[in-house]
Amino acid sequence: MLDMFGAITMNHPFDDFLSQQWHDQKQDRRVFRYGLLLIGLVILTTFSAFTTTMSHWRSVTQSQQSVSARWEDAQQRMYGYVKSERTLRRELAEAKTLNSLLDIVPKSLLLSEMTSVLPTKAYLLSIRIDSRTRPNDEGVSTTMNTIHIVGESPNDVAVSLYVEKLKLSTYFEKVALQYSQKKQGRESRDFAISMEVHNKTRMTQAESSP
Amino acid sequence: MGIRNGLFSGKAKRPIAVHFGNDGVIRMMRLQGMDDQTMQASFEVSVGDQAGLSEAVTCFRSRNTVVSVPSSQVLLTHIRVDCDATDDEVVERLCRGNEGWKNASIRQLPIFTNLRTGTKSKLQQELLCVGVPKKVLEQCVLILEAASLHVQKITVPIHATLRAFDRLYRRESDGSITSMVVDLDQKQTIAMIAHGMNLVVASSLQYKSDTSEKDKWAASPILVPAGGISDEFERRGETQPRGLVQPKQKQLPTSTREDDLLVDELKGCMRHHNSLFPDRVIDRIVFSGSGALHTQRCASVATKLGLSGFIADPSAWISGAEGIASGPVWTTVAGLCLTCSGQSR
Repeated sequence: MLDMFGAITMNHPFDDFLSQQWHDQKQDRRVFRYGLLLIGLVILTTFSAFTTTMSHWRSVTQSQQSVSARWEDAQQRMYGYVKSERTLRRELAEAKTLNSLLDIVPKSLLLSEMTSVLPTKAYLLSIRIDSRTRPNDEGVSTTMNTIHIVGESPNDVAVSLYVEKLKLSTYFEKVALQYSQKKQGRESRDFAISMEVHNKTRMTQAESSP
Repeated sequence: MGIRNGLFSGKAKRPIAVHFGNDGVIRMMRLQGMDDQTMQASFEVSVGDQAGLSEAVTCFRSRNTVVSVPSSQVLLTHIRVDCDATDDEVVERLCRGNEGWKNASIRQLPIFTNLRTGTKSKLQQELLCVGVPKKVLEQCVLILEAASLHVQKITVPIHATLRAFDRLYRRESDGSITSMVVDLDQKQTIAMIAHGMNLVVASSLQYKSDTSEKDKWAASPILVPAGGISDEFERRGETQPRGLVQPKQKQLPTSTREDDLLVDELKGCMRHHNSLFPDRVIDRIVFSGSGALHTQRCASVATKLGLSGFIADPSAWISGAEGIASGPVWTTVAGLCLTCSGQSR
């Protein structure tokens, strides 16, 4: 059994002549004193915490006022920025549209060039234009327009003549006959030609456009 | 109680041992640590010198105290009561002889049980009853609390004095040694008989020691310290027990009327012991208290009783106490100190 000094002892009747009631009262007084001390400590801690919180609150209020003024300023600037951005986007869209228009040679010119050199009794069945944009060696994007035409001709001579004439045109380059074959049960021949729209032509068109 | 014990069950410091002497001196001593038998400080302050007491207290590293009241204030008696006697019956029986027991804090120690005086009588027990008047307890507490000390226990000198010799009975066989310890004082003399470290008989004697002719302790040429070298452990048969000093007789002891009175009273105690424990023989007599400084008288008494006589000097177990707090006067204080350390048991 541990005594009040932490030493292991047996209880002897003569160890202590103070009554248990006296010890209890003494301990109660100590508990009361410690309780009071604890309450005082809690009050002091609460008060100091309150004071600290109040001083922090004041600094937060000051910061809030400062931030509020800056916020209003930033909001105005933001409004201006958004407005400018909208204008810029609109301008960019317009520029893009304009650019797309600048890239294309007028189809009427191309059609005119293709049909004007078409031999007699030959006619075109279909015209298809493929546009592809790729960056060149200098990193500038360029648009390639490839034209595929399918037609019908009375004979190979007319086809050959038509290819030659297209090659001579300033609007086209890389003119190539894809095929020329006789139609089943008929004398005429189907043919297909592919060619690219000449770059210089496009540049000329871009320079001459307003 | 649970909250209280929970709050204050931490490891406490070793308390200060305080003994209120019959000579009007408060003796205080404190050891360093729980496992350290080195004295931290000791003081003697006159009772009533509150300023001196407060100043002395500042030198100790603890405020907790264990206290021993003056032996002259202690009520002491052996009684025989029925085995099934209640505490109230015991108190009533005590008050029959002395009204002082009524307002005393009483503790009882069963000495002998199952005694039968007649064939048809009830079984009885012999109790050693010790009481301290509540006024004395209050006074001690007030004096010490006025000096900012916290009283933890109040015990009686007969208990504290015996605790000083507990280290002599650490071995199991030591329990067979029967010692008579005589606390001699100018106001009160108490005789105790112990089996090993267990008190079996205690008695207040009429004899009052005259300390006017006492020998000077430590400077006395007639004293031989037991054990020689202080670090040497006692070996029974080779040398005297450590902590006890045997007085040398330079001449035949001179017998006085007072000495004869003391011898007679001690013989009465021995008879009482022998009646209770006929198979135990008293082996030695140990003198403590201020009266034990009169070594010639102690030697004379021991010789007349036919016992080996010793003077208590518990400073042998407390390093640093030699010369400062040594001798039989400090026995009770040292006993309190050693009890608190848990080393005495």
